[in-house]
Amino acid sequence: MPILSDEELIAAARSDPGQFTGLFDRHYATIHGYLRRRLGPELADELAAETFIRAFQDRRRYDPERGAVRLWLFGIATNLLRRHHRSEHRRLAAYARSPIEDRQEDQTAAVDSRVAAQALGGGLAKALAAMRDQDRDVLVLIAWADLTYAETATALGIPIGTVRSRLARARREVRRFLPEVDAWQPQSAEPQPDDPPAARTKGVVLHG
Amino acid sequence: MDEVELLRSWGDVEAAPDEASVHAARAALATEVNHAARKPRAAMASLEAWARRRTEGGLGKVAMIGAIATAAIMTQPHVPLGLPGHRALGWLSLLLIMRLVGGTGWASFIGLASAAGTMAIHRSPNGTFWGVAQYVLAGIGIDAFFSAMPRAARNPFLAAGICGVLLVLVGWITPVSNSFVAGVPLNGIWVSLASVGAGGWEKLISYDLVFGIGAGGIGFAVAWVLSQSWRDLGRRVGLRAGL
Repeated sequence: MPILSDEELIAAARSDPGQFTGLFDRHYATIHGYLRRRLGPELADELAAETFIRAFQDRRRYDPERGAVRLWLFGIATNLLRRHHRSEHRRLAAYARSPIEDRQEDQTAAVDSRVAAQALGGGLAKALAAMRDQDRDVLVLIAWADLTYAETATALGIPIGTVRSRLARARREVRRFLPEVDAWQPQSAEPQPDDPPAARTKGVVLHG
Repeated sequence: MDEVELLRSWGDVEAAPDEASVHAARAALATEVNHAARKPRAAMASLEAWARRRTEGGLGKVAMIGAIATAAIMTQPHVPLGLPGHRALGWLSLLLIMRLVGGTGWASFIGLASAAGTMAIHRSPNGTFWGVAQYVLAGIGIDAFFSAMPRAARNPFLAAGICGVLLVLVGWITPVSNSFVAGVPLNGIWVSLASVGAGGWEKLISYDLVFGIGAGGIGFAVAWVLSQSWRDLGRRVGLRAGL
C-alpha cells in the first residue's frame, strides 16, 4: 500500500474520516513538543489534542495552496494557544523567579549551548514574558518549531515582512533582558535564503 | 549563539509526549472521527423520522405522490392557451396539494425538487435557475403562509387567494430572466417594463391572479377529495390532509 502524503491523507479524510488518524500519528509529537515548551506538559496535552480535533473538524477548509499540513497544524495550535497566554505568562514569570539551583536540567546539561541557555534562562523567561504575544509567537515558532521565516508566515497567515519585523522586536526584547548580550558579537556572514532557520537568524555570537 | 539559538537550547528539548498523553489525545480524536463517520447516517435518519412524524406514518405514500407531482411539474405538457400564467394551473396546484396532504415543508421540497429536475433535463425556459425559480419561491411561500395561518388550510377562499397572490409575486421572474439571459441590459429591461401601460399591467396581473386562484381552487379541491370523499382510502394510504 503506497504511503500517502499529508495532503493526500487530508483529502482522503474528507470522505473517509478515519484517514485523519494518519496525520495524528505523524505530527502529534511535534505539535505537543511545541506546546509543551510554551505551556508545560498538562496544558500541552489538552491543547495538542484540541489542535487535532479542530484540524479534523476543519479538514474541508484546508487549502494545500496555502502551505503544508504541518504549518497548518502549527497555525491552529498557535491560535488555540492565544486563549492561554495568561498561563504562558504565569509559567514564564514563575521560571524567571525560581533560583537556578532548583532547575535540575541546569546541573545535568552537558552541551555548552545548553549550559549557556540554562544559565540565561531567567533572563530569557523574563524577555519572553515581556514581549508582545504576537512577537513571541514568531520567535518561538522559529526557535522551537524550527520553522523558516516563510513557513512561520504561512502558519500565522501573515506576510513574511511582518515575520521579520516581529522577530526583530522579539530579539530586541531578549537583548534588553540579557546583559550578557553585550558580550555577543555579530556573525560576519549574511544569511542566505536557503540556509536552515538557525543560520538565517540575525547573527550574534556568545563568546566564552 | 544568537537569540534564536539560545532559545532553542533552553528548556526540555528532548522530552517526548508520554504514552498516556498520546493515548488520551488519540481517543479524543477517535471519538470525533467516529462521530463524523456516523453523522450523515444520523442526519438522514433524523430527517426521515421527522418526515414520518409529519405524514403520520404515510411517508411512503406521500413521497410517491410527491414524486408524481415533481415529474408532472418537470414535464408539464404544453397547453396552447397562450395566456400568461396558465401553466400555474398545473404546477401551483400540485404544490398546494403537496402542502395540504403532506404538511409543512412539502411544498418547498417539491418546488425545489421540481426546479432541480427541470434543470437536470434541460427544460428550464431560459436554461438557467431563474427560469424555474418560481417553483421554489412559490413552494416556500405556500409553506410560510400556511404555517402563519393554519386555518387557511380549511378555507378554500384563503387557499385560492394566496395562490393568486403568490403567482402575481413570482410570475414575473421567468419572463424578466428570459430577457436578462438573452443579453438585454438591466436598464433595457427596466425601460421595457416602464413602457408597459397601465392597461397592460392590469391585464398581466389579472391573468396571474386568475390563474393563481384557479390553481388554488384546483389544488384545494383535489386535496379535499382525498381527505373527504376518499377519507378512508386516504387513511389507508396514510395521507394526512390538512383540511
